[in-house]
Amino acid sequence: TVHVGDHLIPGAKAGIQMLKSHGIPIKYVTNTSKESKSCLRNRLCNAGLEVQENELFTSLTAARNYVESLKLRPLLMLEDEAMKDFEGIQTEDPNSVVVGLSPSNFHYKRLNEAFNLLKNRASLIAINKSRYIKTDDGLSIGTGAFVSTLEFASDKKAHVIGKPSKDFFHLALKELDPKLQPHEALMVGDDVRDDVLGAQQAGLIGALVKTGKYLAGDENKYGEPN
Amino acid sequence: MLELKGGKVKGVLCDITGVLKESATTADGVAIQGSIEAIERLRKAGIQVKYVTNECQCTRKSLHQKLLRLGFSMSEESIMPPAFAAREVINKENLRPHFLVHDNVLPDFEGIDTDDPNCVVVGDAVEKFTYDNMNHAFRLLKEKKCKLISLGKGKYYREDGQLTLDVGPFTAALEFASDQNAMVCGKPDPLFFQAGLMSLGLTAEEVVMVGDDIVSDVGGAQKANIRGVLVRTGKFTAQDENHPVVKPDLIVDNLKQLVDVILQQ
Repeated sequence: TVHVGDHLIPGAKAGIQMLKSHGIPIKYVTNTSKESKSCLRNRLCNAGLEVQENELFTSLTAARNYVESLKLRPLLMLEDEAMKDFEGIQTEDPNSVVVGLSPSNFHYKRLNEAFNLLKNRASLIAINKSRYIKTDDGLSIGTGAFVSTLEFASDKKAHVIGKPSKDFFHLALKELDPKLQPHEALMVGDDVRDDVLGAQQAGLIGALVKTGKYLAGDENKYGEPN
Repeated sequence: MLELKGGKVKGVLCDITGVLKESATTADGVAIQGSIEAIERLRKAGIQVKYVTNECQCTRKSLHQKLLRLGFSMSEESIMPPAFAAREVINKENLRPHFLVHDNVLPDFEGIDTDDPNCVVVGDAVEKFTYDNMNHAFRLLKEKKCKLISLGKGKYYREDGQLTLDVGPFTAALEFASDQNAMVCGKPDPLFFQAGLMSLGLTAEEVVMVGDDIVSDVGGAQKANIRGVLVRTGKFTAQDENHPVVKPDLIVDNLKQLVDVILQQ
């Protein structure tokens, strides 16, 4: 919606500046789980968009809060750049598995390790359940696929932190402005299922952009974007 | 007193890993106690056996050789692996597959055109399940609209004493990402069991299936109207005795105990 990799999407910066000049508060809500908030902020600033860390609400930070609140000890399936958001969390003798977008962990041996923990009573937490993401060289298989791997193998359902979970949208809204009602907020995204439908089911208005991972016909797949 | 209800058993569909032998990463694995004699007793009693296996880490010939070396005796043709079922589908539907399978099973697919693939065949690829290989398969499914075929869809099996991921969880990943359902060649697909019946030349009522996988072996057989017997060897765990969906027609300690029951009829 705003960026792909290190490049801003044409019109994104102008659109954001227009909203800000009209006094409309913005919260960037992202399912990204391959880098920490500060990494992401740097990436956006380097691409030309001025963003403060407190304008970002990521599923990684929501996941850390969740793990902390339940005092869980996670096996973290995260890339190095994302581990920063989990500093201070106990990871020895894990009793849970936390799955983010982590190509370096999505291979047989590591997935087998996670599976064996789940078979032994560990709980499964998914930072998000995206089917695929848009990368510089096309569409790439997403976190959700490997969460499905572990769900299928262990017969356990993952607790999904990020979009399209209702909690995620409500928590983001609360951080933006505790007085805001869902129907007063607009969610804009390029994923018709996770962004638009998810937002609508949480009571927000949902708008679909035709950039990013959008494919022609997406608007007819799940309900109707506002 | 163990009893198997229903008609007299004239033929057996028998799983291999977990029933005849336990799997190991080195050598041929280990014959399960009593299984070699059990097969021999069935043969002497004139009860036919076909081996319906989801094994796809090696060729049928290689699997047969391993079993012979362990002391079993059966013909190579009595073994029915999913690769052979997949071959039939590939030929019938003029498919050109991209393979994400174990290297050692590829010879069973020799001669098949793989240029400009219009289908993805996924098997128990083990170490070949890397992010890049999964991504390549996903892109074929999503962008080239390839058909997805899975050699069996088991969740896990036991190897070297430990539970280890089977092909099913990786098929589930590709199904989820590409939003399509795989065609399963192998257990628990009912057509695979029916092929077993045809090969035996018997009806469902005259046959019993025995396996260690409550869903793929027992559940799959029952969906094809064949009695399903669960063994407590192989990947069996105590939870399987109270499966929420599948109720085996009989649960036995091992193959030997099932053969005791069959021969008492």
